[in-house]
Amino acid sequence: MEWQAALVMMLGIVVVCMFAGLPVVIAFFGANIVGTMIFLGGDAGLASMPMEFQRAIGRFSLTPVALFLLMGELLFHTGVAFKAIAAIDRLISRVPGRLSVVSIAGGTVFSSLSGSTIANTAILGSVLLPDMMKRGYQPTIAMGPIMATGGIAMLIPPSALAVLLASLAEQSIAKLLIAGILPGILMAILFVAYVVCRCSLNPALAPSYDVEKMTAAERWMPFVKYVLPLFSIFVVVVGSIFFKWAAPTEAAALGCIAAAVACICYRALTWSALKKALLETAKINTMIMIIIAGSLTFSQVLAVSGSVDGLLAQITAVNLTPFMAIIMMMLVLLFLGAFMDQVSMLLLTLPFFMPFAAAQGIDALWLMVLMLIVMEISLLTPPFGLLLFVMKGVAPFKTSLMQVYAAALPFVCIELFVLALLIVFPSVALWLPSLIN
Amino acid sequence: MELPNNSPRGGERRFLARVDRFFGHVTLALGYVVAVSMGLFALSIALDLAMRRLGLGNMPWLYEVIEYVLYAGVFLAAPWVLREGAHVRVDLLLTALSDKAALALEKCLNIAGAAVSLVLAYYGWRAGFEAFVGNSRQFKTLVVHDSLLMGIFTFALLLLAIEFLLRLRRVQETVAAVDDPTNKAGF
Repeated sequence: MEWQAALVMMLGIVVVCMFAGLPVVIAFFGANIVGTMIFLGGDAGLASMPMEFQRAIGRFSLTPVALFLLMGELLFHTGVAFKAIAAIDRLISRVPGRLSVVSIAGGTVFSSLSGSTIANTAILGSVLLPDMMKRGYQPTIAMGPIMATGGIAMLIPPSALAVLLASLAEQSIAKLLIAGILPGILMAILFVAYVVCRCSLNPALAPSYDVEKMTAAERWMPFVKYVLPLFSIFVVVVGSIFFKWAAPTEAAALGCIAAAVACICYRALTWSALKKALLETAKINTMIMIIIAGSLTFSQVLAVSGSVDGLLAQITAVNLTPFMAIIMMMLVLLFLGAFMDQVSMLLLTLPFFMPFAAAQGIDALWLMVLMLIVMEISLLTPPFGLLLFVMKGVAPFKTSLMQVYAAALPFVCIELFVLALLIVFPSVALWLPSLIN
Repeated sequence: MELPNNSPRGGERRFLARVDRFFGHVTLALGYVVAVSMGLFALSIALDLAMRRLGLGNMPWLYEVIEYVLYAGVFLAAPWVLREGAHVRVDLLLTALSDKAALALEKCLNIAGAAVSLVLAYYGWRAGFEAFVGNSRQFKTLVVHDSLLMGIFTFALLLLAIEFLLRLRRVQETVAAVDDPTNKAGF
């Protein structure tokens, strides 16, 4: 079979099954069965496929995904994260769009403690959104920052998706985790700048209100009590990786222990909260890993069918510059991101992108940071941006999906700006990891 | 639609409902086991690191155990995750269709899911049987029989196929309820 026909057939089966509504993993499994029968010796190939699944996910380097998820779930279900955000709320005063700024600051802090974008958005949405609505904030300025900051959890370590990406691309997990820090912080600063400017120009977007008068002690004590100690979790995770005291998986395990100890110190760790956190972690981890099992075998079938080599040869013949190649890859990801979840789009494109980037002489670490930013953007792009639906779930009943889309739009533009900035100035992402060489 | 107690189909439905409930308990129990394993990963890896840093040796088998448990856990928890409706899926078409068409499509999807799971379960069983006959093993720090790994896979995929079939039953119950004239009459 010609490589073009093989490519269309394999991708076609996955895409058709996926859009028909079959669970993504079953779509991959189905394509694998057909592809293995045709390209890998039929019956004998199929009998070896289950062992390939074991090799795909029975990997120690994938363990941090579960552990980073567990950290966030622990802080979420014990309520410790809610207290931290309430403490940040007391600290910020007399700023245009105050509660939106609180959501960005609180979300960025929680991003450094959690590897889960969903937990991040759900916490901020349920804690701050009702108050914003009560105070007359317009949906654009109320929901937008919450959704946008939720995505920052993907960039700032601990990030479950960064671990997944680096592990599957067989690149340094530690470097990718560190590389996400500066772009994540830059994004948060731009979000705050946007909110403050917008609310200064149009105060009706976020009506100002009198913040409760407090003494300095009343203002700072909750921060010292509920936020500063939580930074120890970030220090444990990032510090142990940065100073090469622990491997990423070990750092993730230490982060879980630190999160549990913090919850115990706040007398918040109940059996019920622990049970919920563990069950949610198991659920999300299974959901991600089983797709990996299906898609890695899919990549092997694609490779054996000659599709990957054929497509790469075709693209290389066009003589793209590395810059054009990056732009093309980002456009493909942005398009896929509007319709697909992050893990699926990552696993579909990685078999093509990594060898293509290597052939073009593109820095793999830089490419992975750009991919993370595009995946963050895709959390907010209609029609299927995941965080749009999480926000719709926690928003007041009358909020329409169109309002949620409109609220996300300015922040998508800011994220696109950061993406462009990183394409032009790769050192924004590459400087920090270069220090751990 | 509730059928009379003495109706043969009513008895069959109640039996299947009991099987469904029992199966729900089984998958949830597996979910709990996998959830506990996540907590044990964190504890054991941190303990191993502490032992190594304190010069107390380490657990050389730990990473391998975690790799096997990670693999087994993902497949064993898959039917529970499916039951919870948490597997990633794109419901663009399902939400665009009319209720009746969406239910018909949902039935087809569940049949397709069960078929794919059964094919994989069959090949898992074959791979396990061949590994057992050939005494095929993975030699690392631990020696693990491939037949054990394939046995877990086969068992998990069978459970997944059963869950798809039970979902099919639940969809059919919904269709029956939609078509029930007493429903339309508002009773």
